Amino acid sequence: MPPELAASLAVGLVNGVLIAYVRIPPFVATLGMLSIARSLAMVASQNKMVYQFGPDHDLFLWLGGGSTLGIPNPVVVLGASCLVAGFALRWTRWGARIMAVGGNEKAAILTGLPVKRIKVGIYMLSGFMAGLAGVLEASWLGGVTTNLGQSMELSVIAAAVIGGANLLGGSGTILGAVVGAALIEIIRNSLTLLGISTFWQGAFVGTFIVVAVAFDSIRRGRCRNAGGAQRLARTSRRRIALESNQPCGIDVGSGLRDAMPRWGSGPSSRSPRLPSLRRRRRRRRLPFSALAS
Amino acid sequence: MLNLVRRLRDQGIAVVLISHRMPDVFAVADRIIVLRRGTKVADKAISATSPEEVTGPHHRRDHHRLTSDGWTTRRRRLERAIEARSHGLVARAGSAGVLGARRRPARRRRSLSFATDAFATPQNLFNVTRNFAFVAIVAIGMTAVIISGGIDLSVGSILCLSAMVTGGRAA
Repeated sequence: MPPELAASLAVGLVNGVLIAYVRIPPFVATLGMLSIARSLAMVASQNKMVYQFGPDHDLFLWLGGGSTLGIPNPVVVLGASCLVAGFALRWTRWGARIMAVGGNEKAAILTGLPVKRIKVGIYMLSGFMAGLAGVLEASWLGGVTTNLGQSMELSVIAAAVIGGANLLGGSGTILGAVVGAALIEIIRNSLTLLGISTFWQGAFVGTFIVVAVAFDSIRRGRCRNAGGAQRLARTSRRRIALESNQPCGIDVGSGLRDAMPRWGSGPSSRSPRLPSLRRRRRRRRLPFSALAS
Repeated sequence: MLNLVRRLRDQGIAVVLISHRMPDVFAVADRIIVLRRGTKVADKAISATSPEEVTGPHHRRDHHRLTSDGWTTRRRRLERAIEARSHGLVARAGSAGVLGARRRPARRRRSLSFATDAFATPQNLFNVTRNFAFVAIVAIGMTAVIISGGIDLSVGSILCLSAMVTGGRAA
């Protein structure tokens, strides 16, 4: 494995171990790593600009700056990884496990999932993707300074959130994140082409993020009106389904709804609950037994 | 900033100032080179020109080149800019950058207020898709992390570290 990808996997591994085994909150652990990794990059480069990439210099520059069949190479890589990750998240045991961990971590532990290993794997994946993007970006720019990727985590999180990922865990799609990143860039590009000052771009992008998430929570709010008893029934149904190891409508996206206070207890507001549960069951493609085995 | 530039000049250090703010340029520069859309359109001593003259051809659509030369590649312009440092202070006012040569060239503001159809050109779509590809690739990993209920703030630094390791390996 190339050392740059190995390095990013190692950083991801440290992140994952700190979070899963030492139980440091992800925010704190990765905040620390934010400083550590950048300082390591400064140490490695003596804080100088790097613009020579060895004997395969031209090939390396082609990697990020060139194009294949008229498509820029980074976009080719993006498409490939989007397909692979999207498939894995939706159709494999790994993806179902991630959903289960995010939806209800305690339930996942009780079900016997190797939650800690799953978490380490996720942070390693995140590190790997960042490392991959780093190689491509270095190759595209043709030179690297130590402020590369500064405050990039914020636009990445923004892209994921616009794409429908729930910061409380349990829901989100790969394609959504890609579309979110595309939307941000399109807004930025359009503003530039329209001749609007770059100072205003942050305001537009920020408003867009808030509006996108507001729409999402309004949409969720409509099916949040279940009463407490019904919620209990739902939980026990889920548990029965868990124990009997049958395909079920396990609500992997319950993070937000479980965390929010419930209101509205009239029969009319309760009724949408059940149909949506049925719908979710129909949509589920993976038998739950695949999760636990 | 301008005082710093003046201090450096007084110490005999050449400074290349890249700016579109004419008052700054005329306050500190000795020599001015105007680039427009990647080509040099003017190269004059400050004492021989005025802000009006410099900004005129710079913004006009059918500009008249004050000086013309056959150089086309960015590399040569860069060399030229470096050579020019020996003459003292160089001010470069323009849109397309030598140092930012791999970036999307910034288009001229005034014409673009009518030119939103520039968005659908193949070149622009090529650039837009490439620009967001990096963020999107990282966002794929981030989505997995967020789905699992966590967050990863270190991606920007990991990206930088990986890029540096790439450079360090070659060296």
